[in-house]
Amino acid sequence: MHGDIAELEALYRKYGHLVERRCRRVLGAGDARDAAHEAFARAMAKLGDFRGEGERVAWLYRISSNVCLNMLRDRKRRGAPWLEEVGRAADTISDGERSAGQRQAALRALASIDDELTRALVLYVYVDEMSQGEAADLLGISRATANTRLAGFREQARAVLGGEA
Amino acid sequence: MNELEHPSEMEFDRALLESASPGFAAHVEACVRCRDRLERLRGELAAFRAGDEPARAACIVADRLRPRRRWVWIPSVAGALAAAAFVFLLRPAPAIRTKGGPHIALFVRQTAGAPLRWDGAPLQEGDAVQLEVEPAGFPLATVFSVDDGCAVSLEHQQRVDGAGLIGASWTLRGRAGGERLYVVFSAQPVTSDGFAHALRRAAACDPGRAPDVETADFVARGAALRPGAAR
Repeated sequence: MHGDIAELEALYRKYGHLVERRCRRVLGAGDARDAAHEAFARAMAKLGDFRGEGERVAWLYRISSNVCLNMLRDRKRRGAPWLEEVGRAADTISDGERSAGQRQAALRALASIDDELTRALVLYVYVDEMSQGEAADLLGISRATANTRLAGFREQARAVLGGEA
Repeated sequence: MNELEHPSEMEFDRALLESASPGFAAHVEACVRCRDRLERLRGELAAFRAGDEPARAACIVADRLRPRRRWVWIPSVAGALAAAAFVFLLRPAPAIRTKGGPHIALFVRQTAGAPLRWDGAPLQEGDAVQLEVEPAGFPLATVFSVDDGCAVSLEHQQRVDGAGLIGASWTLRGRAGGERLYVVFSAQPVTSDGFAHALRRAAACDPGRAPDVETADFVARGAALRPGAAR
């Protein structure tokens, strides 16, 4: 696999749009392409873990979530103007007209969350618009756990967003 | 998901890969907005697959999968921007030029200094290298580093439409070696493997030398950087 450019190109042509679109929803247009390249490299390095075509989308979502969350954390560590940056990222989200405002609020509130599992859960539910059940299945946690963590997030988000107003 | 609940982004992604659930199909059948959205996404996907990003991305991904070498070139956009102001004020003659065709000029900024045109002196750890290019009509410039074993790594790629600075600089980290830096001018993306093959065919693998390499697909201009001992 490594270094086989033609095979990599064929796989990127098939799945790259999915990964880029997913990264753009989380990070905005600026860093999405770089994140997608990184996510794809990680996916190719772990191709042996892949468990079949039916699971490929969920598998790519998990890997791109990890990359995006790492990049969000790095932005915070760098002292980037965190809330403004994430807010701008949310503003560039063009697809999924259903709840742009909700997504933006969720991304802004995400800045206050340190727990990785909760952050991934929030991405799936508020950015990818999955049901709690879908997100719980993807993360390998119970629906009750997902529900508890999301309730905690909403409470924290209300405090953060209320504080900004 | 039922007919009243809109599908998640992942459901749309599954549908784009022709692996949608029966529930998704039933919802889209009944929901005009989701049907329109699916059509729009299918159009975006078709444009993506027909474009040149997959080829470019494959080069970058392949490079990230390659084991790291002992020398590390650290791209620095901030450094490049800082150097740019200085370089454009000076506008010196190009350091490396072949009559006709594209050419490059190198500038080096030492750890605490301003960028200066590179005079061929050994580089030190911490020095930052900046490249100015004249593409002579080629639309694409790709920067590769080549180590003393002739292993090629893609460092940067960008579109160019006239003379100007490459949008990144590189800071040397690590031990000394026979590093070379090449800028490849082309119409289509050039891969690390493709460039390594061209170097071997042109017998241009000797450490410490960076001769021009020209093929039917690209023109490459290089510089042998002769790194010195760490400060």
